[in-house]
Amino acid sequence: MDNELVTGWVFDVHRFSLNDGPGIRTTFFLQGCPLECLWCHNPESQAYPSKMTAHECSKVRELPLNEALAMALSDQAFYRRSGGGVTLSGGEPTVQHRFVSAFLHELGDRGIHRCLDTCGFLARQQLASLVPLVDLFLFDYKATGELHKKLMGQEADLILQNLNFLLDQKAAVWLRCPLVPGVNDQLAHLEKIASLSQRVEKVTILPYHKSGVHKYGESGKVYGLPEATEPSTEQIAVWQQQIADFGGQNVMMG
Amino acid sequence: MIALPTQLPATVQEIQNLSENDYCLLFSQIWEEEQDPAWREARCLSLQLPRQFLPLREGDRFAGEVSLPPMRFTIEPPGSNIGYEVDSERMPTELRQIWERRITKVKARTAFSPFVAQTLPSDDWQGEKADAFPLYRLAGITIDHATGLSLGLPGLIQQADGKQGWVGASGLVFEAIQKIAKWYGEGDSETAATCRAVASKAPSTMAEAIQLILLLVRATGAWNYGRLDVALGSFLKHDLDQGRLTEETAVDLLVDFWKAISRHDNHFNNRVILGGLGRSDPKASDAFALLALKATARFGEKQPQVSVRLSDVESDPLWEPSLDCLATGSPFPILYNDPEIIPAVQSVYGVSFEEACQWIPYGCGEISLEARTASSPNAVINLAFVFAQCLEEVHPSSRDLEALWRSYEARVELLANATGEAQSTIYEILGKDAPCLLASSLNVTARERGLPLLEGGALKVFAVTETYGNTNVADSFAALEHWLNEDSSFCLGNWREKETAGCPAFGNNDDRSNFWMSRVHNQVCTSVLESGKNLAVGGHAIVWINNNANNVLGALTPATPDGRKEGERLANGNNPHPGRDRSGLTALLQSLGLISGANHLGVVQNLKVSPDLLTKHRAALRAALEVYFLGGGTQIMFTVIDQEELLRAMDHPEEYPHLLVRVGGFSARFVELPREVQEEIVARTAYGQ
Ligand code: SF4
Repeated sequence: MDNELVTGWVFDVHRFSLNDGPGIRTTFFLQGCPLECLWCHNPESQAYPSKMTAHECSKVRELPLNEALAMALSDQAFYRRSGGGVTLSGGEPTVQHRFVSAFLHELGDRGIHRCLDTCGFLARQQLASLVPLVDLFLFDYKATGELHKKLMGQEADLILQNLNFLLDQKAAVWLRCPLVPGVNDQLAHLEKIASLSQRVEKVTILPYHKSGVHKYGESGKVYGLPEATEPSTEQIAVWQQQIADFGGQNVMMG
Repeated sequence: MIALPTQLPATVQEIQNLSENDYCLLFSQIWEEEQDPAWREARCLSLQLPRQFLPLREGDRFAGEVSLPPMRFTIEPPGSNIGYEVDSERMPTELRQIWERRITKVKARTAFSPFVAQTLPSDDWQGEKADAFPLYRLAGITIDHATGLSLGLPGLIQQADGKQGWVGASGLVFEAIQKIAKWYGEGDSETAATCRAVASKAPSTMAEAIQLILLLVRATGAWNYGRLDVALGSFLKHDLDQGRLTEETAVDLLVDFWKAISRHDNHFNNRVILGGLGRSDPKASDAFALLALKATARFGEKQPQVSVRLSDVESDPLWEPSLDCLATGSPFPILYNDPEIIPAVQSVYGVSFEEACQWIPYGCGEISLEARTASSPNAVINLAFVFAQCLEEVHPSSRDLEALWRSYEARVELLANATGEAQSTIYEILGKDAPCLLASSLNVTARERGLPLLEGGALKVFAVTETYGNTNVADSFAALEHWLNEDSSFCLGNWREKETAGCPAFGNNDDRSNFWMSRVHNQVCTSVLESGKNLAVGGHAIVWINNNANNVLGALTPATPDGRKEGERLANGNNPHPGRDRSGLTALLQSLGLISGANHLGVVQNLKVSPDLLTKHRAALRAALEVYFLGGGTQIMFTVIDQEELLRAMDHPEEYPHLLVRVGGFSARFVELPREVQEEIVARTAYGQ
């Protein structure tokens, strides 16, 4: 298919985004996700484009590739000066594989730095095809062991295998780990984060915040973690110490 | 029967002791006796200056606070007034009628041509509904510090000694200032000692230099301080070398200086300029600038308006110290982009590169050449009002947007001519009335040429017109165009029935709003520049700054199709209408950067950012600002604030007495602002949160 005809289902675009990779970035949030994390901040982004409800349709826009590209290119001077670029996020961006790979191709042709923010739950083959198109993977790692299935709706195995694959391929990876007090902050998980930190460029701990909870009401979904609380500064410091004690390296608190 | 005081006062104390009535009688008598404008001004000021300086307050390190007497000569008093003027409530009744004809402003108004009088019928810009008004003042005067500081008061007096005309007359005024310094010098405080030194010789320490600057600026009636890093850099270096000051005590001294400056506060002035090209000793100046920024952060007030000229957008040594100061929550410094501004100043003023390097912003952001120009913004055009009237006159069933544009354009051209001519007349009348002795003697080119400021002395005399509502006009045209395109039954007369949702709006860097903004901006710039070619003065240019006039004029302006309701504020300077920018900081900066330095004498941009952009994300903010400047942006000023905090401060003002915000071309304590201005600031998009 000609790239000009490719479209993506996009539920938001953030320009001057500073937390999705290095420098000043434009982040495209793509619709659809194979996981169902209990704390998901964007529950509306989970439905696949083909299965969206009327409520979701009203929020999601079908964006032609050339428009997305024009949007990204208009901030090129800012990327260059700050070492930034474009981040594809979601949902899980790889759900829209064709759009994502076409977009990444076009960006690469223009020398724009590309981040892919992924939950890691995708077919190996697909991931392999993206490795040459991505300059930096922002890879989520959210729970260790049995708990993963309970919190995310899927096992962690494929995700970990994919992470190992990327690292074997010498891909640049930043790990992103949301931590919710009393939900996924077990020592085993912190230890796993610490050991993974030795193989990735950097780890960002994302302390839980409740900012997305109101969206559940709007979308009619039920929030899976009604009891969850935001961690105190002390709690965050404790996590930091625990991860360091397990040998964590380059671990930042986001 | 008018009775003069029996004994003529000779000393400062005697003049201070006069009753208000006696002071006025004397002032009036001098005015009558002395027919020569230069000597009249000199003698009037010899009475007025000793009267206007206030005794030192307990704990003040520097002297120089003033309070204007009811009868006076000033170049820029608070409000719209110029030259000789009176406060009729405070003067003897028997003098009121006589003085009505002596007031310079009245003379200027009376001298307007029929065309100007008819086109600009009112002076009451704060109360009347009209599209343009004249203003009367000589704003933006700065003094030649190099001359003042190298000669000192004795030297200034000596240079005038035995001279004819206005130069000789200025000697009398410098003598009056010397007397004031001596008067402040009575006593044994440190301040008194500094004042005695200032009275007797050229300053040799930074404290003496600061004291002399304060006396000269306040006596001149000026409101802006110019390039203090140039003026004081060598004094600082000398004091540090001699061990008279340490960096720490130098900052203390500057905090005291800032305090003295901010005592005299009309919200819109007190600019201090740091950095930039054209400094004789950049190293010494930068060293001063660093301490001045530290003093600004420490002082933490809304004055003085410290402004930094970045001579090199990529590597200026003042970049990071400037961001450090802003990171403390200060609205200062305001940042300026030299490489963009200097060529523009060369072209608008028609001056050389070297001369243009002496540009400084004053007041709310108008550009002058330090101690060289007379370029007072003496007229206002409310473009939104012009537009609303033109739209009102369009046939309701018309779909002809270009016809609307042409009628708008024609009215702007007419107003450009009228405001230019009015200002030419104001300068002419003031020039005839008085040589403005201090502003002239402390002007670089007037000294060289031996001519008073307004009679050939100033390097350039310029008419400058403030414009308001530009963004609202651009957004209105963009909205009308949008409706015409999407709805074939839409007629210009139906605009009130339309919703603005989906209309392009300035600040989002989209093609149509950018097109209209450029068109509106270029048209008014060009019309005004063109009108300047026919004037007796050197030219005419616009500024697009803001004080509180966007609110005042907005209250008198009909609704406009961009969604602005009747009486609602106008957008503030070169900024989106509050809250209409929804596409991120990069889009905003690209929109703002459309307005390059060319064809005007000052445009201001406001940016509201969260504190984390100056701390955690500083590199990204700096990169974004560099892109903005390299792409043609001229200036940016900040409000560094947490949006939540602003909202809380509206409800609990008592908890936020120190919250500083940038309103337009000036800063303010948020909780002291009128509710409508607070709402405007809250409505502005906050970046970085
Ligand atoms: S992976 Fe992200 S988008 Fe998907 S459910 Fe989890 S939190 Fe939501």
